[in-house]
Amino acid sequence: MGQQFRTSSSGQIDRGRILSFTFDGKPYQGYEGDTLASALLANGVRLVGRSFKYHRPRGIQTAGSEEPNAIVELRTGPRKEPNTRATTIELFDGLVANSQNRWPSLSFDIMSINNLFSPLLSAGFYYKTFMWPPSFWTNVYEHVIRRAAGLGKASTEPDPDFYEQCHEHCDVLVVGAGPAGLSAALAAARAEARVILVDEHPRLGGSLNDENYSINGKAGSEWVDEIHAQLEEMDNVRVFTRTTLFGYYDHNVVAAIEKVSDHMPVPHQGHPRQRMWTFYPGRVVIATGATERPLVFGNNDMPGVMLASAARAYVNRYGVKPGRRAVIATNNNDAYRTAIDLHHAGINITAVVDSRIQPDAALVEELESLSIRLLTGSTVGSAEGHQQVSYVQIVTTQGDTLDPERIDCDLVACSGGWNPNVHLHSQSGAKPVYDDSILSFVPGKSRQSEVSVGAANGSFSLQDCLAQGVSAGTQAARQTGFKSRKMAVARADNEGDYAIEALWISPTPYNKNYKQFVDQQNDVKASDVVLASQEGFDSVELLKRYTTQGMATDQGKTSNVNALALLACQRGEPLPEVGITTFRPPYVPVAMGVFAGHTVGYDFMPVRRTAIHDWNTKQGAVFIEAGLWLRARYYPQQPGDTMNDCYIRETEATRNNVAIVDVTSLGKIDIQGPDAAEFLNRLYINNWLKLPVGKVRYGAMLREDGMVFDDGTTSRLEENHFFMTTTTANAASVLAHMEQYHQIEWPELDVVFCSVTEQWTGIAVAGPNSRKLLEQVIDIDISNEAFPFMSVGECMMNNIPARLFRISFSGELAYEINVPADYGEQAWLELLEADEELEVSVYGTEALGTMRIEKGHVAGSELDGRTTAQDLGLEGMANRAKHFIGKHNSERPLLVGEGRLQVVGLKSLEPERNLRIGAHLVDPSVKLETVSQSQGHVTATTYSPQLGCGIALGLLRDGASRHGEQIEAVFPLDDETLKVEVCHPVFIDPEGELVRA
Amino acid sequence: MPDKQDLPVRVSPLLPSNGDFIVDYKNVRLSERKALTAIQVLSFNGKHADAAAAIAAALGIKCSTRPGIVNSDGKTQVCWNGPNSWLVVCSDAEAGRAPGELFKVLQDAMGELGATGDLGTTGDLVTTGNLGAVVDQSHGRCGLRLSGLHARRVMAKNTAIDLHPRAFGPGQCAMTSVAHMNATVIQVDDTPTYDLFVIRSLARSFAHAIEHACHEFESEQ
Repeated sequence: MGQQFRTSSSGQIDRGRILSFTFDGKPYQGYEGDTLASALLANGVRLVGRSFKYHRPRGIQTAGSEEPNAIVELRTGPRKEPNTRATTIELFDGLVANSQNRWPSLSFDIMSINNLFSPLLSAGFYYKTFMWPPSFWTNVYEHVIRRAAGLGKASTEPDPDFYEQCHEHCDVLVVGAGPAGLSAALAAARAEARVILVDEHPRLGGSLNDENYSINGKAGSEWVDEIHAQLEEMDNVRVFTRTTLFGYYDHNVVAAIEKVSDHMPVPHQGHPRQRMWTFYPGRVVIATGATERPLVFGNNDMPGVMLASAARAYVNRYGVKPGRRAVIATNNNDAYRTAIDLHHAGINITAVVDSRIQPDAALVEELESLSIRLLTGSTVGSAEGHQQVSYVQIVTTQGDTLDPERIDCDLVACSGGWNPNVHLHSQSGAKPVYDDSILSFVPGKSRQSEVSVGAANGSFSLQDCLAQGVSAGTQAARQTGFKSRKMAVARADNEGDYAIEALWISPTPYNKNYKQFVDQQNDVKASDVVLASQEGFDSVELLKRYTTQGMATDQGKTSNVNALALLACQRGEPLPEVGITTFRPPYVPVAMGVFAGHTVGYDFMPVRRTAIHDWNTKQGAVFIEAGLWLRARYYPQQPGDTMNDCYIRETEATRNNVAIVDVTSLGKIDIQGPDAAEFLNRLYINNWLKLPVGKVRYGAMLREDGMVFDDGTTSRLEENHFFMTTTTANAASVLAHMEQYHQIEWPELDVVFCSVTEQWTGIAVAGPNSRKLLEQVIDIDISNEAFPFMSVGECMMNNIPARLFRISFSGELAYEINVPADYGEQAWLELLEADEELEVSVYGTEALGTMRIEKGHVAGSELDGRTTAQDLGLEGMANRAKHFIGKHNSERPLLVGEGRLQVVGLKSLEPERNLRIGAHLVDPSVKLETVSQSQGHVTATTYSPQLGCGIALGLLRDGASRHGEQIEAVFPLDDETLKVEVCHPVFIDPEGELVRA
Repeated sequence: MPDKQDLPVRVSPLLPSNGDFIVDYKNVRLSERKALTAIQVLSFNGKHADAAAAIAAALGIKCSTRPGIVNSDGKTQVCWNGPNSWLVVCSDAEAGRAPGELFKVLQDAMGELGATGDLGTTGDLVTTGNLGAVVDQSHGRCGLRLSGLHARRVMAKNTAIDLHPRAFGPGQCAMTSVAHMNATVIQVDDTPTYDLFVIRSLARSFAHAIEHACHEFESEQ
């Protein structure tokens, strides 16, 4: 059943393997080897879509990735993909495709009424037509236009497939596996260069698959198979099929997309749907062929109008007759082969219409021998029919349009000439140049290590393609360091001249107004180009943007040169004067998913976990992201526990008893060497030379501009051995800062350092009972006399080797214990279980934050890159008699004078109300209207169980001298105002008696 | 240092409950090199060559001062790790060493750190024999071994460096980005087999990415 448009034989399809598919819900059959387009044509389906703007009926115009019209919605459900080109979709059993941009149906589309209003929808219409009244701009016009715009509908469900990003290096990359590309790949491979050959089709051969050429006395496809077999045998060659090179970037880096699974219903288990390849070739041989351009005549977008080369491809490659009665229209010799191939396939060629007065004599003779009618000096003026071509009107190129001959046909195969595919060359930064002999652009001077060969280089003869391929492959191998061997060039058996004569636009029958399309995907007509030029948008870049010509998903592959030529005619200048627009990646549409690769969902970004992570998870801890780290934020104990419940409970447990917290994420840097102390002395604002071994000191370091960079404690483990801690956020940047100063400024300092963040699990043990707890498990004397505040020592915690620090972030009697990370979980459990009577608990970063605010310790929210040591109350530490990084700049007048924002404590004066982070600090007599009235802001807030009210740290203008003042914290976003009292930032134990207890 | 039997069991960062992480397909295999000893040695100013020689003498394994080189006796790997740094890696059990022994051997090779007197920067007062610093990173690194016919293809999914046999072979190492994470890559043999070292906290994300890249080959028989 069906497939009434199949040829009796021929083609690279497997007629034994029947595949079923549906289009717009109707079932059809095709063969293995078909594309969706060829299978639709085989079933006589000509109307496949509606155009973007005018909703005109559209069919299949090409047989490749340049297709502007036959774009469909492929698959259903989460795999639904809009705007796929039917010409590139390999048919598989069960394929489901639907037409798009039509309602209610493809053959009856309400929006085709736009076609009648086309005078309102000319180039730049959205700038002109919808000007009045202005009140309609945003409420009506934009709304309506946005709804009408866009093409196809993407699935809103999650993509069930995954994507990969891969990398491969090579000496020679050959793009395109046609006659030139295959020759180049083989030549480079024989010279033993590492070669990658990519081709977008499932089968190598390029144009040889579409044509009836023979090489070395054999069918073209046989020659392709031979070369392919040779390449596969070499281990220095990788062949990628179904792979399209879409981007050429700096440093000869190129990107390609491999459609691993698009030719099957669902990917094989474990296989990606698509892969993005980044190739790093030494040299690129571009053998991407050429794209035929259509003729510009009335209704040239009608289903049944097709490129001459595409008609040939459907007959030769797919065994499909794209019509029954064909008119061939051309301005060059190449389309004659279409007439001959279609004739041999049993298609009635009603006429060959050649715009040239004197076509090639041999071809004329050949047509005569086949009894094919030839009209010279003529062209198709218009195609006519309802939703598909039923006849054409022939006009003469001399302008005789009043007596057009009507020729019945259902297929118009037209050729306006060929454009070399210079896209990659242009993407590489080079500028294509105009070649008058082929009336198109060819590659210009290379900017990167690339060369174009064959049709991509404007050489349309098969023999030239083969020869240029061998030569470029040989040279590419030589240029990448290989001794090349001479390789014979294959012999092309049939050749002819191209002999193009310009025909950029056809006269219309009776000089009537016809829609003569240039860019069919964006519905840009020849008259739009004329209009744009008349309105002053007459440079190529302006034309492109004003008319949107070349800006559709096909990037104007079939339309660009025609548009440029029409612009040149309009400006009365030769085409090279008009120039060419720049091609940019991607060469073909690429799914967003492939750029994300596998880094989605779980893999969106790597996660850093501490050794306590699994325990925390089991406890039901709620985590917070700190950079890549996941830290336990708080520990709900029962259903319904809020964050506030938890951190208040955890804070109280710490302040009244003892609790432990995982502080592994703090940066840790091991510093050793004879100049280690001197190095630290220059990094930090305070003194380090005289720190005794076994002691810890708090330090602050500045950036070069004098602002505080980071803080933390550093311990002297041995005379020349220090252990630095940094904030979690700055762990990497502090290390980089140190590397920079050591490598560039002070290479003479004999000091080495490295990150040991990962080696140690850090656990803080805090609370009045912390010593009592640790005494159960630590083997050294940690009495206050033997191990006072700011001591460090090595010890054993039961059978775990550990370092113990007596430091406190919470303001309580506290210790920090570091154990090798593989023992971290065990150490944690042993601390929890060490003393049954004590009921040791845990706390998270919320309680940690609460206690540091109560204690007035500055952290990241105060170290915001705009605060100086003086602002933060750290100036007392600084030794300005020595040199340290940032010292000079921190003394700049504006940084030390009055009016600075300084850290203060803030207490809520309203019960049950807490301050908000980011709230502005304002004089109560002022109603906050502009930022200049703000005297500072709140940086960190919490409820203090100790004080029984909301407290905060903030940065307040001249705040250090304003303790006791009552001001307001204003949060304009929520229209909130809170009365607060300014106080010293240390809310509890200002004398530090607890930490020294 | 306590006796070997006194130390607790080391818990791998890869799986909860210290399970064995393994991907075992016909043509590609990914497993953890558990409980490794990894010691970083950093040479002091002007001592790079001497430190390398001292490491080589202490271990009986060459130690390269050139970038990207790893030397091994089959059990212990001495991996160039930076302009003044090496990472020495082994499984103590395989290498027949007691826990902590490698650290001690390397520390002895570097000599004791001397006093610095008045902390001048001219280097006069630096005690000779002070070749470098020795830092234990054993618990800070997770080691994975990727091996098999398709190992290179798995790597190509995650790293941009050229691992073609003409560019990278046994005895070479690289510090690079693998699956967007910093990693040390060592090629062990021609199978090819790669050892991958990543910081402990990233171990699960890292292993997950590599495991994911292996799935394509799961069904090969």
